[in-house]
Amino acid sequence: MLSLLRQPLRASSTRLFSTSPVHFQVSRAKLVAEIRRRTDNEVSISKARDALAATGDDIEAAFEWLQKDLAASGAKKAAKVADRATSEGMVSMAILGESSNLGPVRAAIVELNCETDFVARNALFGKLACDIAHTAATIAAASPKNPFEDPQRRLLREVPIDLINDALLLSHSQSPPSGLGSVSSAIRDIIAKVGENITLRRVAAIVEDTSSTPTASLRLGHYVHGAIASEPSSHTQAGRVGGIVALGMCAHDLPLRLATEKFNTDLSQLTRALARQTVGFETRSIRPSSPPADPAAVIETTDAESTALYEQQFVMNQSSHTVHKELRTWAESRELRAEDHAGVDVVDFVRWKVGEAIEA
Amino acid sequence: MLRAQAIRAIPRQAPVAGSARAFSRFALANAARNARPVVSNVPALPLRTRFHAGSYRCYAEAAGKFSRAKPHMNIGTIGHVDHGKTTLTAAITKVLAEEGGSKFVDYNQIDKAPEEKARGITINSSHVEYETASRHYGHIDCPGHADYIKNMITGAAQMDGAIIVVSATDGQMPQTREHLLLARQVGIKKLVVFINKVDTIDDPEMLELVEMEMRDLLSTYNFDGDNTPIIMGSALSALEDKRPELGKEKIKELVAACDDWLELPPRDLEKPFLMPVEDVFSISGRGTVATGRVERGTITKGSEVEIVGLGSTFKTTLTGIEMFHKELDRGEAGDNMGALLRGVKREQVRRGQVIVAPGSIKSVKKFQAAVYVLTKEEGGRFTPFMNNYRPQLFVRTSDVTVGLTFPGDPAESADKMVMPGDNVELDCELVHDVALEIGSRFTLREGGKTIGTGLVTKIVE
Repeated sequence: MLSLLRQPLRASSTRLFSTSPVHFQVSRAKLVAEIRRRTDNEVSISKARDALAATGDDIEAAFEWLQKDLAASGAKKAAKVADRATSEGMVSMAILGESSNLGPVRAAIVELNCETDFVARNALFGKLACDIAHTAATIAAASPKNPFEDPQRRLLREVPIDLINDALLLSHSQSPPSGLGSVSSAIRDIIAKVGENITLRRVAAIVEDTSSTPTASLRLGHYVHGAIASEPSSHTQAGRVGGIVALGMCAHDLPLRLATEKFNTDLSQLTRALARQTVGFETRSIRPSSPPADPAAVIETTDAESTALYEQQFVMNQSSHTVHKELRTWAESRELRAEDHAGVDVVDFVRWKVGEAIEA
Repeated sequence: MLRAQAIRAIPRQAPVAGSARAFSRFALANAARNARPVVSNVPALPLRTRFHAGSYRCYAEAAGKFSRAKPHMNIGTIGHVDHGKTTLTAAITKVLAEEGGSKFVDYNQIDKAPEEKARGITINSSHVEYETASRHYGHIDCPGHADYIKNMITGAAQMDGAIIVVSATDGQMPQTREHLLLARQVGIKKLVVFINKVDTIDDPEMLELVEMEMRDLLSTYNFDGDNTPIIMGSALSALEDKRPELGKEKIKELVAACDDWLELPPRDLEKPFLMPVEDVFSISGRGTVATGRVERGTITKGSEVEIVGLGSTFKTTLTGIEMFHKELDRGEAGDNMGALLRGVKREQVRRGQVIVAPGSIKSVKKFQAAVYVLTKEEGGRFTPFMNNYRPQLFVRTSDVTVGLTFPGDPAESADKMVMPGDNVELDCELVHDVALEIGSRFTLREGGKTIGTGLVTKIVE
């Protein structure tokens, strides 16, 4: 701490003022510096001074005062910046429960926005984005089955922001969460710390029970592009573009196959490649909008500019064929089949890019 | 046919060197290229500010002609959105305008982030320019990290120095470290700090604390924390003509600190000589002549030069310089000249090599670079590329196939990709060597379109 104060006071700063410093102020400045050091500059200088003034220069009391004040000042700051545009930020995602072969998989993807990419690159922001994704993945599956009716019955569904905002923030790692209390209060706290408007734009999660049946199982592939820091954990990541792909499998002897290591390795390679493909290319749908004459037919011809996953060349699998054809080949070579299913099929996916326009 | 006409069109020169006619083959092309706009040398007012609404390319009104009398430097403001960067920029123009009786740019006239195209790449940045007694400044402000990086890579407005703006009420914030990291990344070695909003703080101890924290942080990020000038003032006071001791006087102090502390980049003429070879001719009775546009430095007849790149590097003597059919004793940056090389066969010199002051640049095969990959809207790729991507690299007059790989753990590289719009650091390996140095800019092309642009950041071998 004293290292901060070790340097001689500079002429340039003292020359300005005719009044000589009063004694109690000297000690207060040191206390302000101490508060700032302990909070890693998250408390502004004037706020720290207010806290000390209110508590008679008692540093521990000042911390309590600051903790109480954070909610109020955060709300005030949030109200002040509320109408400012937020077009930067992070897409973060969390995948839970993948380690068990047949258990349910849970996943969530979140877009958290801020005003500049300076803040987006800050560790505070990245951690909050990851924590919210982890929270969303956990609570979406635990919430009552059908609060959000979706006519298309998609697997990965948008979750109402309010539901996430009111949820208790969980940490994605061993360290304590970004804030105590709800997600919305954690967002307010960080607004007070970085002074930029921060908004939770959208959240999507798996809300169905995805436990495997003896003949069908679901696997997820995920990929995040443009992550700033090295990932804290492989199951929670934040970056500029992120995608989750859900791959459905059918076979009569599925549990048996999932028990072999080779099959599992191949499978995770496939899901990873699919997720990279979805993120790397501008992917908007699984199949082309104009359905082929025969829906069961495999899409053979690649289209370099296609936004339909199955029509793209499966570059991420070092293949010159379409994603659709590669999936078929993959299933056939492993003799994966069920009565009326293709063996493996992409069931659903989400691909989000920071700041992109949302399609209606 | 065309050539014959062109030759006739050129007025006959007074008889100079006997080689005049022989040189004319390349001198023709050079004559056209050398028709550069004449730069006015009208002395500038001592202090003058001008403002181009978001672009350098709109034409100045009667306000003045550009003068090259003063050295030019680009600086930027970096800081938190609420700490008063734009107010400070407006205040600088106002104070300097009062000094020189010229125009000032008000806060709301400064466009926060106009889109601009540099080399076909969209960059958001606002520009203001002003002059002090000793320098001419281009002042840029970008909204984000990515825009500053694009600026650096394309060289649109390379920042030679920066003013970090911090509010006295907040002190440095969590993202201030990101601001300093950016300054490091774009190659800024010296900064000036402006502590703003001092008029709202009545406690000098607090200001000292802001200063001490700033000096500590600067040192942490390898800037000269002890000696960096830190000016405390109020940009708003300067704009509103209140409390001149915090406003106007402090702005003057800030500008003086920029003049004194920030170092001017070396001018092209002061750098060691370099001319990329565009074409090579063999002139009977004279020898081999290489032509090109001098990129930097100066050279005199009779100097020793080195020819670098494409597998062969050797020294020779420059026995003649010619422009416009005339022999010269000296060539300099910007000239399109022919260089007569002693004892060199035509086959020894090729387009893509460079003729340089000996030892000033090396031929390089492996290097690291900061690369910006164009979006499809900018005419770039539609799809991402993976490790080991091999486009064509164009630098000066040469084009070479380059292999691009991710730095770091090769096991992780297989999982990475580069998407259009990304700024990335890449390892580059050329199939044959080319003269390169830190700061060399290049473009990456594939199938006839530009897909990226880059800046050499580190030489490997």
